[in-house]
Amino acid sequence: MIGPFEQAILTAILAVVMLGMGAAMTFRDLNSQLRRPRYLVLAVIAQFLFMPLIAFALATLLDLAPAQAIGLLIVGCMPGGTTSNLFTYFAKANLPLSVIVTMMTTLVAIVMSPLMIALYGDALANDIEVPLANVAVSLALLILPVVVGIAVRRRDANVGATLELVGSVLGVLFVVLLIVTWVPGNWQLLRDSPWQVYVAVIALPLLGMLVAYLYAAAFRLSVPDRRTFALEIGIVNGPLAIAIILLSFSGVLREDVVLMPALYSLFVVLTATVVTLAFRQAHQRAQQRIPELL
Amino acid sequence: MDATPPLEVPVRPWHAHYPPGVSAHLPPLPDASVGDLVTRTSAQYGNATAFTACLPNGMHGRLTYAEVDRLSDAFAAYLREDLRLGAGDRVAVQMPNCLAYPVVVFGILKAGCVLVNTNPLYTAPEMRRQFADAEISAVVGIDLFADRLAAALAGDPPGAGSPHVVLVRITEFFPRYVAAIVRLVQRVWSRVLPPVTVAHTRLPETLRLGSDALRRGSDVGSYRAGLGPETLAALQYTGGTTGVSKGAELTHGNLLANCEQMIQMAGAHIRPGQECVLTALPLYHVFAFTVNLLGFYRAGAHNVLVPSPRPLSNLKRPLEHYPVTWLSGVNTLFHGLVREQWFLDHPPPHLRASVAGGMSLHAAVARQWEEVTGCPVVEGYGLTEASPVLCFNPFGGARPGSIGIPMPSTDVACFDDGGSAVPPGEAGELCARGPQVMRGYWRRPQETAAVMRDGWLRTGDVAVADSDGYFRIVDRKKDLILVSGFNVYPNEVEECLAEHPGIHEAAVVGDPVSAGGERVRAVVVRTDPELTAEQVRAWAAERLTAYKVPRVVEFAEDLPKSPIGKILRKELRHDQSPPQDLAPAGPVATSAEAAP
Repeated sequence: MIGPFEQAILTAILAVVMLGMGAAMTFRDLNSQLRRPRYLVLAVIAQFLFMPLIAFALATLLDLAPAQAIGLLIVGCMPGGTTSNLFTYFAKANLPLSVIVTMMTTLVAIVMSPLMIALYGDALANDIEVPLANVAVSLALLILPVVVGIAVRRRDANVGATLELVGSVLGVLFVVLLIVTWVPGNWQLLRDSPWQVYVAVIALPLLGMLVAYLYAAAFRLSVPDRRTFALEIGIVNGPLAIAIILLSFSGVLREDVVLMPALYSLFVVLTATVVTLAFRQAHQRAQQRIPELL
Repeated sequence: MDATPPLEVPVRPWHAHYPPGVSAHLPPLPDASVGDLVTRTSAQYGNATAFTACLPNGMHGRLTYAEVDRLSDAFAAYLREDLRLGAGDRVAVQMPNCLAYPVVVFGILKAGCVLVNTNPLYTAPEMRRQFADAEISAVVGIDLFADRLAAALAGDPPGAGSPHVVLVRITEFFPRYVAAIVRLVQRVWSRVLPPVTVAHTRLPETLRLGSDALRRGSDVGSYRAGLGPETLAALQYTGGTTGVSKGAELTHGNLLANCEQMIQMAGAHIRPGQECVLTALPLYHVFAFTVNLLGFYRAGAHNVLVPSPRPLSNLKRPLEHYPVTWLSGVNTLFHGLVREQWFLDHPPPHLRASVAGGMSLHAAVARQWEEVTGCPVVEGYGLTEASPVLCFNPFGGARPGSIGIPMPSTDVACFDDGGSAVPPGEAGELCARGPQVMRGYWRRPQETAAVMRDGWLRTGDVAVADSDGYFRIVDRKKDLILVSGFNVYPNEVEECLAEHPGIHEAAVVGDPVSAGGERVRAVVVRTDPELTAEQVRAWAAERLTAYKVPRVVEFAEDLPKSPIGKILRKELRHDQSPPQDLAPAGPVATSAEAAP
């Protein structure tokens, strides 16, 4: 876990990053996505269909201890994370689609997350509650900066482009900070966790991305949209899972359960970075190559 | 065409197809020189935005008409007063589309100097040849390519003396903080700024010096006073029909006439002071130079300059941020745009018209373009020697596969080899005369005599006239290869390859490719059996601009030759029956041909 100070800094940076993401978009971009509501619905369905299922399957196959199993399951039942937008941006995939889907899954999560946790968690999950305050913070951190960013770009493209640049540089910083603040503070945790836990927290986002990509391909989405689906669905809101657990569990059990979203949050940054770089290169290779004109 | 060609074209059936309000004859030109046009137009549109340069991320700078006029005055004064250049001295300009371009070019023309547009993609030897031929006194280049410029100017000076060098930046006239950020990104992230080793003056410094001179009483009007329609304005380099690189001498009158012809032809489609034109094609090329730079300046349009349309996503922001009403392009550009998802999602909503030149516009591409954008793209035809436009399809009367009808005050006819006009429906060499036709090639009387006869320009293209005055290109006489609007002359590439110690001889031909145009293929007879295709390409890439480098290299035991030993390129070609997607309803035409 990371301390409140680091948390505050990361949140502040994330707000600026999202401002930059907003400045990378136009209302026209959002409109393009809203014209294809089918894609949005497909993404929301995928989020709450595949990720809980994958989490459940991993917990079962790896024979995780009950506390870790429920921790993993809660992670799997989370909505899309804000970092998925950042990774989608760096992958040069469909940022507006990612932003809208994150908003939608976060809203839907109020109902769907407890439902899916109850469905798969069965006896393990005792009265899971989604703290609305955290959902509200997640949404606010997403919507406000994005809307402001879009408005800035619209008002003055020079300021907008500058914000976008600053946001993306801070985005890299954010990813690095996530790792460097996390690892030293949780060294003991990393040393003591059994290998099954590692497999689970690494496999969950990777399998999620793979399944989401294939799912999008099956519905004949364009390649950039498939990449967006992969990043959007594989990267969930880890901090929200932590908040839920802190609220719903207590004592030693709480420490055991919260291990999973904490480890997930670290490893998803690493796996998503690798996947994003691969997507980015593939994007550059696939760009329409036109010769010099005249 | 050994006999004297006829001087008269008996009928001009195309007159019937001019849109309402278009006169068959050009009215007298209001301006004596391009400088006059700039000054008059700038006074008319004053504080309206003349140019915006827009980078792929949306960062931009802009200049108003009044600013363009004032800054180009200052640059003219710098050339005359500080560099002490005289009227008629040649000044090379080598930069991608940016705000410095109109300022520098209008300054050169106002100073009475001669503009030498130079392709920024040129290698150092190519630049050196052109600079030497034009005997330039100064060169204005972009800092991004300062290394090649330095290499071109190294050693013995290419001209009479060592030319002065002025360097510009892509962000010239941008807001200060934006320019600083772009500079930082160029230096740290993309690392595109080579060290500048050549002695130079930066553009802002030249403008400061020029302004000082103006304050001291120098008068730009006096530079322009001696200029008239007959005065040489630009040397626009081209290989012509022979491939020898030479400067087409375009006068102020040529450029003004062609600009006016285009505006006449567009009629009500160009609303003075209300258009917004996207300039994705490079301004150093004669097509964009006359149509976008001069024509739309004259029309009081807002000109959005894009430094590079590659990749095509670079056009996304400019199209989002500005209400583009006009677009000029080549087949490749239109073809590419209708394959971009973002473009299909939001085709430019204000677009009124698009014009195509440079290469033949495929009927399928034109159709798709109209489906996507809801407005037509019409094709024109021309060549450097004609400033460049000779023919255009009238709006509302465009025919797919046709290059359209001759512009006002332009005669176009097809002649047989004997020099007599062929009847409609029969193929002959397309010849043209009009106020836009060059006066000749710079210091090449023989080359000039080979293409100019009694005011008629022989284009080297074979065309067929319809009975009502529309023309279609059916073939071209020259062996040149068209790589997306660029002319590649086989001779030049073959000579380069033959210099390789492991190559005995080489022949270069064009293969049609599906995206339109051709790709360069070399057939090589090697003396070194170890020589690989990659090595041959690498050799060429070091010496030739990228588009001239053979994409395909094949090895052969020997080359097909005529009895007198001339390589028969025709027998090496694959295009005896072009693939389906390359056989549009129309021709493989060469319009608005590129400088070599």
